Amino acid sequence: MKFKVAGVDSLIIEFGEVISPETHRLVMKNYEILKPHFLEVTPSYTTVLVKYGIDRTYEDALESIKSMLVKDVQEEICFSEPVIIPAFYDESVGYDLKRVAEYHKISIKEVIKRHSSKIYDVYAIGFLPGFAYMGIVDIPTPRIPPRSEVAKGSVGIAGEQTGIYPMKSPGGWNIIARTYKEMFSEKIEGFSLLKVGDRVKFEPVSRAEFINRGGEID
Amino acid sequence: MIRVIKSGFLSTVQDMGRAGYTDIGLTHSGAMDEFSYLLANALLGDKEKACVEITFGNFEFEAMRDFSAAVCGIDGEIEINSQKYKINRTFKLKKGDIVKIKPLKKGNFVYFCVKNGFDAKKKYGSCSVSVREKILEPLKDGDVLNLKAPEVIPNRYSKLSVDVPDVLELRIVLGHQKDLFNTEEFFKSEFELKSINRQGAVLKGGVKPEKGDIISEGISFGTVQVPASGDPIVLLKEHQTIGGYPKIGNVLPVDCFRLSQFRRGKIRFKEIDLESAKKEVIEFYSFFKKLRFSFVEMYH
Repeated sequence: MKFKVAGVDSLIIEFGEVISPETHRLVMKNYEILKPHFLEVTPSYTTVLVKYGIDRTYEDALESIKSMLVKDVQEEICFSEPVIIPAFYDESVGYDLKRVAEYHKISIKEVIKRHSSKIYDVYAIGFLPGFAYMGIVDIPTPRIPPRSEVAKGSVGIAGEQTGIYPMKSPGGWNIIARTYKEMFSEKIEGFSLLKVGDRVKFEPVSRAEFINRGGEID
Repeated sequence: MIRVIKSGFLSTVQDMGRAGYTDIGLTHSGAMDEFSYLLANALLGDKEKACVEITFGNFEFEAMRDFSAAVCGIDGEIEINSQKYKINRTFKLKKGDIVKIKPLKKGNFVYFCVKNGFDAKKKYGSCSVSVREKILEPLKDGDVLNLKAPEVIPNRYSKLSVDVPDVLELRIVLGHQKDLFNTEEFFKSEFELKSINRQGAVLKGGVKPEKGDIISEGISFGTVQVPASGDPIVLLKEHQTIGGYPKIGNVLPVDCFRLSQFRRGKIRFKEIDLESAKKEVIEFYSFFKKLRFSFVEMYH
């Protein structure tokens, strides 16, 4: 565990140097412990950024953080039920389905099967409010030159990660499906449907269900 | 109430921004130049009220009742019913007045505050519009903005304004990835401002990191990240909450406010130790806490 200066009012805690489920469990546990005590606590794959405030010294903040941190997560992790994301996998909304299939030399049907049969972990949230970085996909596909507009609800793959665009935005992920689920809103408790540490599973839905539940096709 | 006649290039309601949500990817947003914003508040005897941040000036509105307002920025002019005045002071506006905030010749942002603040919609704990995140919306021609408690107070003016020199020096606290850079060369280099918006400022200059990408991690206001191109990006109010570019350090918030007002020219970085940096920032805010303007009646 390493502690480092990250600006005038923040410090960053590094829990490991490579992405691994063990490191991320440590990140998660300590994020939960620190969150109520500081102005901002931002977890990511291997780190937690803590904004302790301009009126405290680095040493003082460090001391109180160290007294709270846990160094290993020994207790049995009871896995929470995965959050189900209904996804309409179709070329009309999944602009890159064919590309991903060709890249892996498999059928579109197989892409859908492989993407929707796995349970993913949410490693970090960023880029946009509620945009969850999830992994790890079995069909890793390199990023593409960014599109100026990716539709709200688009499900994409970038490298080994998968994610959902909570709103219309420019983006360079391979888009394979679209969900009608609201990802970020004042109406959702905690505002973001997905939180760091959540488990997620995509469930293929038909065109009829997608449209009936409010999904939009361009 | 005011009715917006001409909303200009980009005019948004702003306050000190939202806090506590970076873990769900929500940025802080808020006034780009807190000096001018807090000065406008102080002139009205207010604190951190919702204001209108006007990019490049060229904003026109009609006062729909009597109230006091303040307009602050680097420099600029306003026209009330065709009568011209300098900014960085308060004005007593009367119902029916047509007010034009002229296009800015210096700086990027000008702050329009009203006594007791605008009564603007809040989302996630703040009135601040976040353009990229599509949280709340920029003002449009014809929009009507309500005032919380319109009041007319004696006029005050300020001789202070943000100082933005031709060569801007940004003080930086080196960060945990400084070893990925040749810092000696970095401090010797001169950079050119390439582009600036509410998200950040892109500088032109070749300080390439030794490593292309790092594992994405939390980033904050003032972070200087350097993509493989070697053009540093200084993160400003609407920065993303996590990022995967190597970071050389963090620019002092107070210097970020000056950078926000920078239009073109050379930029240099200067190292500052953490303790002195904290002192500078604390002094900045305590200055506004202590600020008491004497009432000066001006004739108009």
